[in-house]
Amino acid sequence: MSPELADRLSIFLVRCHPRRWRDRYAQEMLDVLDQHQATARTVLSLWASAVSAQLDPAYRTEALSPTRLRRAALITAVTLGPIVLMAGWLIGNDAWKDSHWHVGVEGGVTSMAFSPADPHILVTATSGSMDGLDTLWDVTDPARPKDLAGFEGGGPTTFSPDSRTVATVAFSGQPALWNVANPRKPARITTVPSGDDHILWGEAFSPDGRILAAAYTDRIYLWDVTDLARPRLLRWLAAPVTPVGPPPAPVPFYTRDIGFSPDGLLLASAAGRDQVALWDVADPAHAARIATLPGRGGFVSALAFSPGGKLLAGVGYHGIVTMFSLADLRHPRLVASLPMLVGRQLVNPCDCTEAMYTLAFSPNGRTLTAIADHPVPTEVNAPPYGPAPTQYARDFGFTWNVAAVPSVSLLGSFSRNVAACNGNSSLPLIAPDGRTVASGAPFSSFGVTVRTLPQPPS
Amino acid sequence: MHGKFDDLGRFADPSLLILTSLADGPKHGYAIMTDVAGFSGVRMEPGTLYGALSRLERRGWVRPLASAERRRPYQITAAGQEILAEQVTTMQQIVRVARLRTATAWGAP
Repeated sequence: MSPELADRLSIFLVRCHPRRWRDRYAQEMLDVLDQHQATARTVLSLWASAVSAQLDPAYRTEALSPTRLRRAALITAVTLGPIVLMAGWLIGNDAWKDSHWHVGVEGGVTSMAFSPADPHILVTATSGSMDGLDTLWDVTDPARPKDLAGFEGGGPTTFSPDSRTVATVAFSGQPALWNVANPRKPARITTVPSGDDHILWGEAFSPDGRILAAAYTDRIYLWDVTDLARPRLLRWLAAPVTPVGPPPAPVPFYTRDIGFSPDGLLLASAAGRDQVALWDVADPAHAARIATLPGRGGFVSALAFSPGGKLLAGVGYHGIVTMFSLADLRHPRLVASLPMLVGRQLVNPCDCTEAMYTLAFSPNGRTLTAIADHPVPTEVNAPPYGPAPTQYARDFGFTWNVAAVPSVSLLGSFSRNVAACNGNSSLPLIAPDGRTVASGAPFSSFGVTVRTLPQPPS
Repeated sequence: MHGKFDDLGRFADPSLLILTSLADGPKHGYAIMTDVAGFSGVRMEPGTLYGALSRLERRGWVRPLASAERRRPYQITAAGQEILAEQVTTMQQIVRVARLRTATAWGAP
């Protein structure tokens, strides 16, 4: 049974208890359900509880009547019917396939990227500059990932479109380019000498691989990397991002995003406190900001262009996905605002920076998937019941049908525990195939979880 | 001695686990679930938990304390401690007999 369906049935079944029972226990039970990952067992236990309470004289406000018996029978039918249907559906559908491995380096995973050419090759970056390490993995068999090679790096880390180059960060804090054409023998090409001593939080290659955008706290640098060994600075753009949260712990920069449109004419970057800056980079040497798109509260954690380049989606850290139409570049238009709801609440309702996000259109552009990762409530993590429960965060995934924008509909949602550090979220990433998902645990050496998403209903 | 537990039927085990969990101090619903999972490995579901809690409360073996927002802690009562002690004595007796008999069956000295 999908966790989403189990959650819904559980809440429904709490309401199926007699009024006297609900007045006394419903709020407590809903609180427990908020913290508990509902399964078919949860649903069955609540069904038994509801039927039992309906028949219990202590909660009766009237004599046991045919009405009450009918109600108990109705609860049974409504509860068990979907379970039988779900069982049939699950048999014919892909289940989640999880794998988990330890990166095994102190500092945890701060950035990841799948190879565009081969979604089975994953690069993970641990820690930040100064002491980080990039590792190339072959995850063809997620249960037995192969450690192909490691090299000097850290977050951010990204592949070039031809998958032959990785841009990461050198110990000096500047962008570094590595030749990974042979992933078992990565070779340093060069360190890009920007001279900027702010934090490098994002890197992106243009679709033709000729431009590298390197985003720092205040500026974005556009480098011509046609000759990878000799990057040439084309232009820098004033693009300050506003730190969120009190010092000394402002927002984690690796949750921001930057990316080129599929035709390479536009660049989108997280900006300000909750905005997306859109840049015209058709002529990179004269690149200029053409629009500033408003977010829906909170810094922008992830961005994605649709494969056709007509839509730009972003997600803020509260968990609201905004989608803009780029049909008229002079006037980008908000076409959808999609809340990621768990129950009746946004996935990250607090004004804090706990959640991490990833966002991706399917390769055919017909669906958009957003995944939020959030720490499991503290009490689950409370010692001494570890180690297993102390290591989990939860991914909440949502897939929308965006084939006929502005008409957008939620196709399905799911949630799943993934490895994480105690009390922290995990860093999710969707592969170019749209179905493979990796979640890396920062702040710890709990490693990476790789799994395949279920096929959303069409 | 254990007649008082008999009419709890299939809820007898969850009731015992809940009383054991509350023996070292008040806890709210989810804390009971994680505590029970920690010391017994039994993953109690919310329906089972509240089914048993409501029966224990009705018998006066646990009492609810003032709730903090939606979370209401429960405390074991003196009567609850008494019934828990009785149950533990009964279980110790069962364990003693079981050990003796299995030792005989296995031919141990």
